[in-house]
Amino acid sequence: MMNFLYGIWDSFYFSFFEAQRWKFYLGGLKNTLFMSVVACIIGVVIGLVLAILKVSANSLSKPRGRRTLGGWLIRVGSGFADLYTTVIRGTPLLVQLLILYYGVFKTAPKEYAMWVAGLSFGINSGAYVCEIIRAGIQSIDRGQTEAGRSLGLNARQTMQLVVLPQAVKNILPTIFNEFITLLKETSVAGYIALTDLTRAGDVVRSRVWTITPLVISGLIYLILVILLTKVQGVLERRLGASDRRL
Amino acid sequence: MKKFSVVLSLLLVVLLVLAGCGAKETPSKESSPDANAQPTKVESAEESHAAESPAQEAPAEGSGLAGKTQLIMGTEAGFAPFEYYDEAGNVVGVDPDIAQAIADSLGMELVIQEMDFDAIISEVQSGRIDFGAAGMSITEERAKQVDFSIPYGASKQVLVVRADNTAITGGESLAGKKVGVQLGTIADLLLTDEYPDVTVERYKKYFEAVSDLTNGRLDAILMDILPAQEFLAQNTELKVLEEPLMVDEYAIAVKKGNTELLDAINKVVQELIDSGKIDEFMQKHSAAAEQ
Repeated sequence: MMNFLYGIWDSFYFSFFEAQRWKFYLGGLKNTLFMSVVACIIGVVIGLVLAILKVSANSLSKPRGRRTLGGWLIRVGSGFADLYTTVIRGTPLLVQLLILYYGVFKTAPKEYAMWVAGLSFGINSGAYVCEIIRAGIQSIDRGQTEAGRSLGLNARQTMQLVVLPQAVKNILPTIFNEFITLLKETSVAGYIALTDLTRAGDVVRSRVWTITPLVISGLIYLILVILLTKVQGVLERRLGASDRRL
Repeated sequence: MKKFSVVLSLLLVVLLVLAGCGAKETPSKESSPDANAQPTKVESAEESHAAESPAQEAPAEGSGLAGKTQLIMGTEAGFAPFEYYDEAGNVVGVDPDIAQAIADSLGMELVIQEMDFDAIISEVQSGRIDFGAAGMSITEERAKQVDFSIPYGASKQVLVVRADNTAITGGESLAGKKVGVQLGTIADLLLTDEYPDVTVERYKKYFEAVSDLTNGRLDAILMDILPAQEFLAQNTELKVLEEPLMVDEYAIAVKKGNTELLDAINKVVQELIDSGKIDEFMQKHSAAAEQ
């Protein structure tokens, strides 16, 4: 048993401390976090806009609303949102990343590769976030919108002040699910020669030829996800403080 | 607090389980540098097997070749003229030709498996492939993980830059530059260890590095001169700096202790060198790859 543990420690030391290999993991961790944060922000913005477009189009039930310029714009926007979610959810993230990096942003210098990757992951995440937020908005009883409108708030104010705050509470678990997935999906960044956490483990693995570096990378992801779950827990408690259902 | 300790203990369990998987692989790593006593035991066991069946033409038992009809070679086919895809989608090149000669001498069928370069040593160790032939340089670190055959070619690591680049003239002018390499290759190891002020960009395939060099994302690529010349044949906007940053030798990698296969490989490689066949392969594939 002692030998077993000693072997683990030895392998860990060789894959982490030897020749300052921890620097690879640290660099990878930084890059992974950077891409995740960029992607998260872009994803939420895209998702929110698309979701509101989709929901607004649904509520354009009266013929009068359809004929105005605003109504027309909303329907075009909603059509775009449908197309967006179909294409983005229907193609692999890796394919999107490669097309964006080697095609659309072909001339972007290496320094911006991380931004291109973050953008790519954000565009991808946006499609999923859109559906999550749409589900959240639609989970709020129609009576809430009606109450808001009858209190004299316009459609935008009702959405901002009445519906969205309640929707946020409902979508919190699913949206954190998406954030967690996003964090781990950044691991495909290695395909465009970025050293994220996964590639960092791979680089060390090409020096030590054991799976220990991958275990180390995996553990760092695990710790990040556990931290993220903690944040989710805190947020849920705070938001749920006034909720009688909880 | 209770929740936290639950999480912590869960983490520990996962760590132990995962590390357990990792630990299984460690003996292969450790047995090589310090415990020379154990491998010799294995070798002597093999020798005794060999002594029982002195006829060595057919694969004998003890090294995993017994009863096998296929000889599996691992390689990374983005490295012409050593290995590349031909028009029909087969992996061909100098290494496959050598491997074919080895398989013929053993009376076995050659199977070529294409994989990432940095996976080859692990795959040799796991035994999923019998040997790795991928223009692989002999290094001290690698020699601890696998056994190398006698060398069959010289490896010259040279810089590839854009034709209009006059700033990079050699290894000493690389400081602060972005240099592309293939992950886990000798070029990667050399730059990482010897040139700390160079930004090393690690690619899975050299052709991706070449596309980033022509796009202007990289300042240079460090790679073997022969494949570099093959890339140059297709990209006129690139040039090679002839002076090598490092010279060493290519060899075939087999699993540690598999002396039977290693001996067979050494014998064939020596014959190919003596008869000038390897030079012939080189010429044949340098011409073929350019078309």
